[in-house]
Amino acid sequence: MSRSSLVAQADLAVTHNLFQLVTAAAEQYGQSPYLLPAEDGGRVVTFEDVLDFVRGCAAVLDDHDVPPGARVATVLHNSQLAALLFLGVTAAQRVLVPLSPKSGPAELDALLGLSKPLLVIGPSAAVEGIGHEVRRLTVEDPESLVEEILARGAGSTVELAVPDDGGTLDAEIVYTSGSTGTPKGVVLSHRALLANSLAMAKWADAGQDDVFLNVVPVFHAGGQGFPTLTPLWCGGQTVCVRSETALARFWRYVDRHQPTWTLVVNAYLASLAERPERPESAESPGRPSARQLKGVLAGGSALHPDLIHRFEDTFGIPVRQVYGMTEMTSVTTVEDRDGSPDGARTAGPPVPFAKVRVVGPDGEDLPAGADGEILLSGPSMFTRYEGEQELTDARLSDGWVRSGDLGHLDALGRLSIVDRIDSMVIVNGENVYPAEVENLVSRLAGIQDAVVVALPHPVTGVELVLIHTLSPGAAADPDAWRATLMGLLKNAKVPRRFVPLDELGLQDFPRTPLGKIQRAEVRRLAVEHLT
Amino acid sequence: MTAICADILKRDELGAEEDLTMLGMDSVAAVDIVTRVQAAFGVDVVDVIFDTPTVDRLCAAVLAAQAGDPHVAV
Repeated sequence: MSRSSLVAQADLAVTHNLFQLVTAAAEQYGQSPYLLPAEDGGRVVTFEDVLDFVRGCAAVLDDHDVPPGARVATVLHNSQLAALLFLGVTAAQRVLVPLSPKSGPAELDALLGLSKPLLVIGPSAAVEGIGHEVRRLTVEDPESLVEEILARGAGSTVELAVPDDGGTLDAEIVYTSGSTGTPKGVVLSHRALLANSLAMAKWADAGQDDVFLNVVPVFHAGGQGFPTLTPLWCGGQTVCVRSETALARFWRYVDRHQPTWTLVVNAYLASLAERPERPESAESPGRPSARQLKGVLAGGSALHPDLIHRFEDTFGIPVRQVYGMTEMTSVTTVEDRDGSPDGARTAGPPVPFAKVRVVGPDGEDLPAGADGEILLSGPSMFTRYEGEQELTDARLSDGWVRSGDLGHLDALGRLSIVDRIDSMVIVNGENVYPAEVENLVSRLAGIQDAVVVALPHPVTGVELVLIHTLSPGAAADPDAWRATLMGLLKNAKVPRRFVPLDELGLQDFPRTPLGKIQRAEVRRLAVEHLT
Repeated sequence: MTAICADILKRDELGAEEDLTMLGMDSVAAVDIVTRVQAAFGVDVVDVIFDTPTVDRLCAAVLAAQAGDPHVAV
């Protein structure tokens, strides 16, 4: 049997449906292991098993009167079953609605009302509180359900009809809360999922010796592409573990499965960096792993360079920043696989097939280094917000997704994120992002930490105030700081006042458990004490 | 067990049957509790802390593991 990779010969015009990818992987990689059990004693799922599982899903969904094109909701934490149902439902040509088991009954009801699935699959704890009128498949024992579906598929030769549509068929609806708090159903096509995961296989130069540790929930696009679909392209292995469990057992899983890649959210990276004592594992006491993590991909929010360096220095594992959004099927830019040639830390250039622009308020492209709104495009673009034509139109602009994020490209085409557009304040008619000023604090001699807040002002409407702590032994020098900032920023962006934190009645900045300064709390105290 | 949980959740007291997530336990605090319990009792309570997060259930898991029953705590 040929063991050459599907990645090299991949053509998205030919492989435009997830069933085709599952079929090709079964032919190419056969009985090689694909999905490993997280703990001892579970089943090793091969590439051929995945095809059986898809056929079994088609049969089980037929039994439940859920025809191709109809919707199926899952309410599952990460597990082998969760990963397989993501593949099984979508490749069986049904539309998946993956929901978070952390949603309360009211939220689940609301999302089921919006997405209108014919069937909900989840453990009794998750589905019994649902008031919405919908059929349920209650999962009592996930492992035996996997066996049952595999057995159904193994006896089946059913050929699933794949439309010749170039991959535009809806594969799933992923709900995101978004900044407004109203849930939005992001519809992703087969093509979007295939393009995104193939792009990541190319980026990683992934092959059969790669192992992916998946700690991102499969009900997010981030847990589906790189950690779950990329190994189908490259013939690699994946382990699908519940995020919270993996946070506590991260190094144990690393020692046990010896992954080469993992993707985490930044808060996760921070939590690992705060526990620098990597436990000696009983599974590989004192001996180095055969395989090393080639990198930890991290994204989801602003990532401070200090945290990246702390993680890399502590564990000797490279961090690669990513940037993306559900509307682009997750990862859209990523740092170079082998590191930055000039040492600069950015969110990297676009992944294969993707395109990035930065534009000003007039929609014109900005030169390198200038901050503007980030626009994204490529075959991984979402199809629509379910049932929300106006929202869809507002998000799209001539074939580009408006990210709502502010950033810039450098001369090498690498993206840096500055802030959310909506955290902008307007001072004297000038758009100002507090983070833009805060990012320059390292140039102000003597300041240890600082937060910039916009306070109400009787004349200018708002006034920028920089609240700071000093490095040990340093003295405040507002005139010098102001002069430095004047040389770097437009006048309106330079804070008018520099206030020591103790004027707010605090010795230290209030921080989240992950060490991030609680800006909202600082702003509240600043309004209380300074206005 | 109560002292560990109360310390990490920054509370003076807490009831043995109170749901720790309702007392502000996020996943990071849960990991802190798991780490402290592992150090104090030598038992991994990861599965318990996310599914049935009460002091009572954590104690039951520790006692069961110490008694050699592998089915309650991993």
